[in-house]
Amino acid sequence: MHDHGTLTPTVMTVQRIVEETPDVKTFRLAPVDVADGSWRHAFDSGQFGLFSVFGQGEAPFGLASSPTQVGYIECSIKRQGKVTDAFHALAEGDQVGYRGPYGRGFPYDELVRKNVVFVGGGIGLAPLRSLIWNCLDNRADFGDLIVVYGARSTGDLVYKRELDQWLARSDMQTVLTVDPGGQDEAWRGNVGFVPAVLEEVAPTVENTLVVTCGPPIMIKFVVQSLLKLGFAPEQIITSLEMKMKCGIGKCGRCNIGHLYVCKDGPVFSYAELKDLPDEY
Amino acid sequence: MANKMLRLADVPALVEAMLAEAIVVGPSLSEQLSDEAPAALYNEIHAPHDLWLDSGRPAKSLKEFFFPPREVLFTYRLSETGVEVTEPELETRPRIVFGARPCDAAALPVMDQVFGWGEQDNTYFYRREHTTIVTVACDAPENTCFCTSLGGSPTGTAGADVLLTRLGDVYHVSVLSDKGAQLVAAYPDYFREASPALDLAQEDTARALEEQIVRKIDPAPIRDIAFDDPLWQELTQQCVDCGVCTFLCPTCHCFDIQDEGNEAEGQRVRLWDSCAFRDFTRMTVAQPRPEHYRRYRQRIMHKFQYYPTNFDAALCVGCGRCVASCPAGVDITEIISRLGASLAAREGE
Repeated sequence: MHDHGTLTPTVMTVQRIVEETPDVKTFRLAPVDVADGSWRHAFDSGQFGLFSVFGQGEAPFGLASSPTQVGYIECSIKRQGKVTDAFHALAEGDQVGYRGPYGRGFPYDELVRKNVVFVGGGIGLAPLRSLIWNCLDNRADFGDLIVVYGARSTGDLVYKRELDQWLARSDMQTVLTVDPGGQDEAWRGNVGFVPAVLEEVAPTVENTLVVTCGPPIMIKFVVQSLLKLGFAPEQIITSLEMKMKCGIGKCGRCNIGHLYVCKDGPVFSYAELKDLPDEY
Repeated sequence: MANKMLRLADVPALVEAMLAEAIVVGPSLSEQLSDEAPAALYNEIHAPHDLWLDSGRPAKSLKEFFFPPREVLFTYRLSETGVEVTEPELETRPRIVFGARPCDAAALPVMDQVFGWGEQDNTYFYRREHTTIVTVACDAPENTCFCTSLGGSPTGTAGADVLLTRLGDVYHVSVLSDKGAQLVAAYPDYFREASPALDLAQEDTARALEEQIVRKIDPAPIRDIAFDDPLWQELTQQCVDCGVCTFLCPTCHCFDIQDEGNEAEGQRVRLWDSCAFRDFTRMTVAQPRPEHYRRYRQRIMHKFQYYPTNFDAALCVGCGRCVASCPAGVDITEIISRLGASLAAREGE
């Protein structure tokens, strides 16, 4: 007989749902048959999975929890279409499908013993959150850790409790910002676009890697700012989003030139990206 | 492996014997089309007289027998205890494809690369492993065929376990793989010893048949063509994005995954899809290929540049179905020639 179907997901229980913003929720999931907190899922930060609501369909989302987390995985989903609407309608205790991890994650081993700058925008913080906690859980292995994170408005900042934890830590620097007009009276952070704030922070170039995730337009300007600050294309790492169905290099729709975002990515260095056809 | 001989007169009895033990698939007259010009399709056959070995090129390729146009991946049902997921049973009887055209067999190793890299596609390879492929050489290639430009020929052996070449009232039987040897050994009454003279006659016939393929392309220059070459925008303005070329293509393998059903029960299915369709790459927030030319460029570049970069072969076997069936007259061989000529002209400047 054949083995388990390649595209058949594992059934997972939604253990917890956190409403991050009006349109983003974080889902904590564990396999139905390993609900006792002992589940270990081997993956790299930056990898993704295909998440599904049975009857509504499947969609790819980055893994938002750290690989060091035992017992469950998390993904954060912004409501913007059929599958994401279905996720937002779920209640704790419901069951969903998951298959993964897929793709090439962040180059964790290359980050070790370096300064790491995390630059995120909006829901783009999700895969970075996985990596940030992974680095914090092995804090001694890294140089300076700097987080620059922004959203359209204070209400659109995700993981607010963790942002407070990071702000309170002395072993990392956390800089938060919201787009002009997005601040409220209680806001004590920066007001300005992420690339401009990043230029003010001006991280050291030497022995540093920058990992950035966010809306494509933000990434474009973040890259320009980084090049202006003196970073080389090899020092800039980002993650791409493309339409995907299989997640394993077969369904044929996420390629950029001969590379498949699902298989060769989603993580690419800017050095790799600038040689690819402009079709993403 | 020693070659064999099969008498044409013995084919019905051989097929009858195979039907007793296996599912047999071969070219047969399409019932849907029977009041029009006769056209063959690969179908499961139930009696020897269903088989139509000198049908010419069947209207569709063989790919649906390994990669079905609609495949149920699993059914789901919500019960009191949760979601129950059940995968369909796969056919356990062995399957013999009898009388495939060499181009359709050659397409299978090409698809194997995609379904096999990274995480292997289990159901696809289950069907591949349970199927033995017997091809029959093309006696009368069509004017749209261009297999010889892609490494094939009317007697090509890629992807086949056994090749039959008709020589008068017998078939020369080339045994090409272990699976082929097992098949031939299982039916010793029909697969008889072949003389060395028959091998020589087969070689002569192979050469003669190869000369009948008159349509030629040179896909090599496409390996170097630029993504932003201005020619892309003018090439295929008459294409209507219907996707027929991709569905008939024996190597096009792109698919969609959809859920059918409601929250209580249903199934997840894999469906053939096409890069010609606007929805193919459309996301809620972005669409990397909004214009037609970008989608057609993807098709040509995938076949003659991206796939070759990854696997060192073309994603095309030159079967010619896309040329013969395009409702708008798009001819991939002409496209390749125009791209090649344009490149050569610019290099000469």
